[in-house]
Amino acid sequence: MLTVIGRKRTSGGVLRAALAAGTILVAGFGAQDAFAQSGRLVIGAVNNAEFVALKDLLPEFNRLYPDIDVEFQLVPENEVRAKITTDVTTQSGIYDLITTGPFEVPMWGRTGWLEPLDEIMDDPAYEADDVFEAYLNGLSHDGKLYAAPGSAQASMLYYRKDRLNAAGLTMPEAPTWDQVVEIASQLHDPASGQYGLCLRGLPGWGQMGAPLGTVINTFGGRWYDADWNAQITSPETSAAIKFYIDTLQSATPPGVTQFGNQECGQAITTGQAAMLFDDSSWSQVFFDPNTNPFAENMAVAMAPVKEAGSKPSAWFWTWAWAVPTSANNKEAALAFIKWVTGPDYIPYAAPIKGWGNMPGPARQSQYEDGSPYSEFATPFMAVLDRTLATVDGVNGTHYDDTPYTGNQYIQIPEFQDLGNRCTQEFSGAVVGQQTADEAIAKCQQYAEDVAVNGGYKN
Amino acid sequence: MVFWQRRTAATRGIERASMIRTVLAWAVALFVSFPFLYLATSGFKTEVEAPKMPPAFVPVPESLSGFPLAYTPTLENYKLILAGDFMPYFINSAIATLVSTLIVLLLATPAAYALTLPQTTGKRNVLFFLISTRFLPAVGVIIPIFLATRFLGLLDNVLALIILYTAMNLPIAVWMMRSFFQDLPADVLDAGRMDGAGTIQELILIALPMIKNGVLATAFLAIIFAWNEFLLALTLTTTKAATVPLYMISFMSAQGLWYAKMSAAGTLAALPVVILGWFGQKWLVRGLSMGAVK
Amino acid sequence: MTSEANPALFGRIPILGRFGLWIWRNPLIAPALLVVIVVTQAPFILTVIYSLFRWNLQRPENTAFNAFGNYVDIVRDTRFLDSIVTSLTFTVGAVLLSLLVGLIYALLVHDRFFGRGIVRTLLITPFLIMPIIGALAWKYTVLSPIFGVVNWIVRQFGAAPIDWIGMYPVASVVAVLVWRWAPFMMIIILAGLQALDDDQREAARMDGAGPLGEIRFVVLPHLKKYLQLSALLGSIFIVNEFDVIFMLTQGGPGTATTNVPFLIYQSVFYSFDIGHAAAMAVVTVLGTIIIVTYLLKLLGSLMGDLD
Repeated sequence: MLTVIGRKRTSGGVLRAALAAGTILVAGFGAQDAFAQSGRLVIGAVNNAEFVALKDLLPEFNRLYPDIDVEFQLVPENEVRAKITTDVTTQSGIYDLITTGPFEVPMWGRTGWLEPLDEIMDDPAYEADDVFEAYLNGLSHDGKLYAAPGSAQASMLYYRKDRLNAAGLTMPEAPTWDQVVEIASQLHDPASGQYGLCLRGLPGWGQMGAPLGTVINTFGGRWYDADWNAQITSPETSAAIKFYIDTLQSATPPGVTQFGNQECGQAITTGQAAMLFDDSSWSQVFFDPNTNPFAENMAVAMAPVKEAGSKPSAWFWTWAWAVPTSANNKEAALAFIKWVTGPDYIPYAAPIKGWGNMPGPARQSQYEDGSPYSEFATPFMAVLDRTLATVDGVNGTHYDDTPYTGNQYIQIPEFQDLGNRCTQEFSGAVVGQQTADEAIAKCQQYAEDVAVNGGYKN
Repeated sequence: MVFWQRRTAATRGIERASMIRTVLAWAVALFVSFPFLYLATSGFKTEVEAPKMPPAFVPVPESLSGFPLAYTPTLENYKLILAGDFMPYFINSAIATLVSTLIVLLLATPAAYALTLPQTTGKRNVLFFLISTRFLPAVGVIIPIFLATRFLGLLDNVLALIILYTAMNLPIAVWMMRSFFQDLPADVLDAGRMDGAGTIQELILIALPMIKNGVLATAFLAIIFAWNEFLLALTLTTTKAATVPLYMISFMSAQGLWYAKMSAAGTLAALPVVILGWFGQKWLVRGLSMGAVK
Repeated sequence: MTSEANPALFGRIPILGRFGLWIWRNPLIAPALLVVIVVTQAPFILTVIYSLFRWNLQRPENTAFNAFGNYVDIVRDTRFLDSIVTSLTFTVGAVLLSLLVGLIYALLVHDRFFGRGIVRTLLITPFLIMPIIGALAWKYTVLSPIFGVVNWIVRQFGAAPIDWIGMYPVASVVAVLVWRWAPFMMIIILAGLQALDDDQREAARMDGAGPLGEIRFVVLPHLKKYLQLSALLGSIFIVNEFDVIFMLTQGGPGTATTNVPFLIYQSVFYSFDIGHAAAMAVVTVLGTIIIVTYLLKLLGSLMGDLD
């Protein structure tokens, strides 16, 4: 293994070799106490690049834990969410280990559906202190951690330097939405297959709902006021939604209502879109010449805001690993979490699978000068650092009396449905089936129903 | 004289019409088959080549690559898929399909036979009840089915799919087999008037061999429906018992280099039933009309 | 195996007793019937019970008896009504167009010509292909603004690519449904054509009727029964269509292609609102029973006497 990695190394080789050696050393010790773990381990994961790569690396896990028989199911996000939620909420014991996110984890932890991860936190080899605190907080309830962050994600604005330069335009490091739309409209040229901007138009609370949620936040809007009155028709929220719909209609590729995370990413790597506001995890794909032919010309800026200098508006996300209380093989699941979110996984995996297939590290040490990631990430490190340092997973709104927690989502179970339905209406407005005002009015009604039926509003 | 002229004109007209019809029929057939022929073609391309436009159709050796509409076929995608984890899905699909079909035949044959016999009462009610279950949306009962499966400990177990596919295909199978039994000569059925063991013997020894085609046609249709079933498989299986449609949904959204692999996987997944269908065309009429048309 | 066996045992409860007796007397039919009853009816009874509860899987603490609250909600919520309209649009649109296209297919391949076997095979194939794969093929090889061939052709004429599924979602779904179901109609219609007396057609031709006149006055009247049957059976399958919508549009954009099965699916697996989903399922089943009773009468008349 060492020789394979060694042969691939180009620069910073000594450090990488040291890390690799360290990996093997730690792995060796890991194997010592691994005798207890055995049996079938059923994992349900989203079919993102990072988990597809992980599936390929399972032989390494099995080298450490030869008696664990891993069954790894990769399914698209909507379907895996459906399957995982059905499993967890009915306590069916289908999965031993799941990938989930900060939206569900605190709620499920509170209900007692997830195992607390004290054992992992207390393991000195896990180096829990190294994990970004905001991400641990976002996955905790009542001071207990219920999922281990496999990545640290927020949102950023990606753009093509060459396209902006050619048009004589420049992008500030912290742009406003007005500036972004202005630039997009100048670069938008559908006749030649060049589009100004890609934004998620695919309905779904985790698709269109994510960027839209941050736009609502930075426009000074929110879903509910302190008394759980729906606020969709409030001047701030409705202005944000209309702005989003207008932008989708005027500056994005055709078929944008079917563009989710993946499709927008492809709009960049195929050279169709000049800009993209999306997840920070794309930086690893976009800045790697192996995965993006335009890597040389990519640049990033902070998530756009409404007013220059206002509260940063990046979203908060992590794909996190959790063990349902109904799991049949908790020991094996914990062993897997320690391996995949531990200090050694990314240094081991990145040289083999490439940074484009790695999660954005959730450990501070991997961002420090001289680390392999910081070397790779030089072109976007400044913006990413600033983004991760300021991202707020607990309250994304501009208000102190917001009755819910969350950033681009609101942490009530009904939000999945609410977010799905509202974004569905908005996508209907994008293609002209109804006006934005009609869509907003429907969303307001849905939100009001949730507040009443869910027992939030008295 | 006039009569003769009319005939030639008519004959010439028919010839021309039949020429036009032949061309038209081929044009329509190729148009209709485009999606799957192109899918099958793309499975033999490299990931770089597959999404390219204009569509390349003509397989050529590497030395001729670069010509318009031409591509160099590769087996790489198929190798990747078969070396990957496609086979377990395929085997699960095959088990669920074949075992449920076998049970369907075992249950439907005696039922259909009895429903042909003149002395059986309530035939109309039974037949209409059976067929009415096909009108109900499966998704409407999916949660009770999920919870029942969980209660029986059959989640992610092929047995659950076998039971459900059996119930799903039984109504059509009974209707269809019955239409074949009805075609039997009256004296064969008359012999069945005897009660009990006599009936069963009669069925196995005399009636069944006479409707071999009916059994094959029924099996054929049950296989198509079970193999293509999606919702139940999606809801009730995970890894151990997952069937081909579950393998396919990972290709639902565009990502990275996926187009050629999706095409190859789709071709492999659809192929068994398509081939069966090509050979079993003559049975389709009887099967799809549930025996109503003979 | 005697028909007198224990009538007293079942006699106490009249309906159940009569049914039990019938089952006892028909041992050849009983296994098949019982399997279908247990697997399809028992879950339905549970669905009726669930529909009377407020029950979201994600909020077990909020579960409570809700009487007809869920029913009130789904009637008040325009989504359910919209989805019924969508279901009917798909069914009527796809069935009628499939009939027309299937008839054309059938007329094209009925008579012998060069390559008839291959042409017929190609025409049947869309019906055999796994529906989710058929939809996937349409989504990416045909309709996609980026990879789709239709848009490549559009671009050759200098026009901007069109987002077919986004701009014309209902038409896109109907197109895929017709693609899939026209072969089904063709197969039944072909059977009808085979039963048509060749002499009749010949006679019409000799009278100078021409191909269209021949179809109009001879073929169509003869096919009436077969067309009715294919429409009926096509409706049974298309009204419950789920796979194509799941793969092609996920019910969108907006709710443009959300039919009843997909709405129920969303309610179960995206919002985990079991009470609402169950209420919708019950209403759908009751509605279907009414339609089915009528359709089955039609089917009965098409099939001749059954008893």
